[in-house]
Amino acid sequence: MKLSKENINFIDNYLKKNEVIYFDIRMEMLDHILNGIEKEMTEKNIGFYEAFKIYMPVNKKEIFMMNKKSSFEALKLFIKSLKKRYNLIVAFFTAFVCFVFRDDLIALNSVFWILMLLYFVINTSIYFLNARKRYYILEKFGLILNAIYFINIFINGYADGFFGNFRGNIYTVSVIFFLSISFYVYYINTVVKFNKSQKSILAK
Amino acid sequence: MKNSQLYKGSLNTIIMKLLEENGRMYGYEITQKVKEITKGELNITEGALYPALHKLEAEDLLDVEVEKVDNRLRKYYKLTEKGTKETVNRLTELEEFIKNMQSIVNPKLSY
Repeated sequence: MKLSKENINFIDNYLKKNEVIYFDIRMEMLDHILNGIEKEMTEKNIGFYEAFKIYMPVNKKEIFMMNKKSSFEALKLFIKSLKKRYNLIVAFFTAFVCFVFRDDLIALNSVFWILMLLYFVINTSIYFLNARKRYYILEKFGLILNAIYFINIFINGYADGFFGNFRGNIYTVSVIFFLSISFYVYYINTVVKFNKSQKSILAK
Repeated sequence: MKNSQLYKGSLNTIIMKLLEENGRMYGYEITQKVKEITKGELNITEGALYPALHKLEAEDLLDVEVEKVDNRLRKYYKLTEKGTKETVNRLTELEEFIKNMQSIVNPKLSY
């Protein structure tokens, strides 16, 4: 049984009102609910709104679990990704750069702030380029970056003496540099995958 | 099956096995397929299925294709090359586990 655009918009608005803010999560929830409603309509030979009233109260709790995302899951996955082989190259690269710039560690550490800003620019651009839709798959990276930010402050301090002077050494700066670069490789991989899926939708 | 804890440890393997057999599937289709195969005995809940699918996707074991179907977007999951290899390993592990469980629960049948 094929549902009308009006029916689909009804469920989409229902999800928005229930604070399912991320488009990628809402898209999957929407299709799931519509499949359930279609099944009810076919099996019981009833209309859309009647089927909605039967299906939703029974399944709401379980379906809305999809909207409860643990940000720590993203952090765990990032830590797991550090074991990937390409990070060996990242490790050699960061060690080499840190060795070359060992006399200017403050400048090297400031690269981290540029990378943080870049993340903000990329995510904001994607938001505006995709009709102001928010995507969990991209925003979940915020927590990882936050974690690196606090590790950086804790082990290296600030360069301007705001919360104490810069106290990093070649090893601590290397760690932050490594985490930042591997974060970007992981993040860019996700953005590329995301763009591919966006293009596949537009191509249909 | 009332005690859903019993299958939760094997949920990823169940998903991977279904995708191996059916090529690509979407979330709702997986829940219905499991219900159909087990004649309604096993009910995979949405709260368990989708986090498992997203985790497998993040681990590069599943690939995703989004398509417009009946005026809405549908997310299909399929095994990656790495996922296909991993399915074999996980199925072997699960078979071993079932064999061991059988030895404990019903020792006479295990030989």
